[in-house]
Amino acid sequence: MTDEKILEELKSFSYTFGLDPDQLAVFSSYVELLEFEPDTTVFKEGDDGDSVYFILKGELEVSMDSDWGEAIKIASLNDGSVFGEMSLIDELPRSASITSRSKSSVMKLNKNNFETILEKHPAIGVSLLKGLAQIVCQRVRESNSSLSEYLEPI
Amino acid sequence: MIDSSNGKSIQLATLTEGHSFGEMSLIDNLPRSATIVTNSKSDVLQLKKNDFDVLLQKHPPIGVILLMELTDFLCQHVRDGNESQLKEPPMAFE
Repeated sequence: MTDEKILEELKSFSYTFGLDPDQLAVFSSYVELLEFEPDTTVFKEGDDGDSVYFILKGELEVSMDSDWGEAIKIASLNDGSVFGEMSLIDELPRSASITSRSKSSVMKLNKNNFETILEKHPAIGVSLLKGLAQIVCQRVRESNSSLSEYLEPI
Repeated sequence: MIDSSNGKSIQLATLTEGHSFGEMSLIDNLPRSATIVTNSKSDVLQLKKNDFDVLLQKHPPIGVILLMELTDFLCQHVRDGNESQLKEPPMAFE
């Protein structure tokens, strides 16, 4: 895919991250395009991880290993979803596994390029981080609401 | 504290010196997800949304550092939540 095509594909994310066209052009020069066949593992829970991914097209499954040895499907992700942001930020192992369930196109931003953006283009970095922080907030809120359903008062 | 499904409050955590709280509503503009009550006389620094936005806009390099810290902290919440929910089979919750 040419840089222009990447830029075109990435426009759907400009709203999420509030990037203007110039910022989006800079951002697009730091990402790479990956294509996955159906039933391909993108990464596994526990792997070291250093990249965040933006789904352009396709359906991917999030699953986690339970302590009773079963992989539990947590969610389905599709066009416009972001995953892998936690390991990018906190540098801890992947908290879940991601499997591509259809043919899919995904943009990848690795840690090195992420840090270069933060350093050289801090205004883009702020927009990017705000977007990622919002995504993580949503994960906390979802986790809290299932927690309060299960909890019994003391 | 959070409210359980049957309406009673449950204490989730105790915060002390060096902790921060309230970062989620600052970032996603949604209502508070938990209740904070002081257990002792406390001194706390408050950063308002408006000042936060000005800071990010006028001093992006500081904004980057602040947002990295806040997001790192949020990731920890998600990881703690994941951990507590997959420790036992779902049956145990019923």
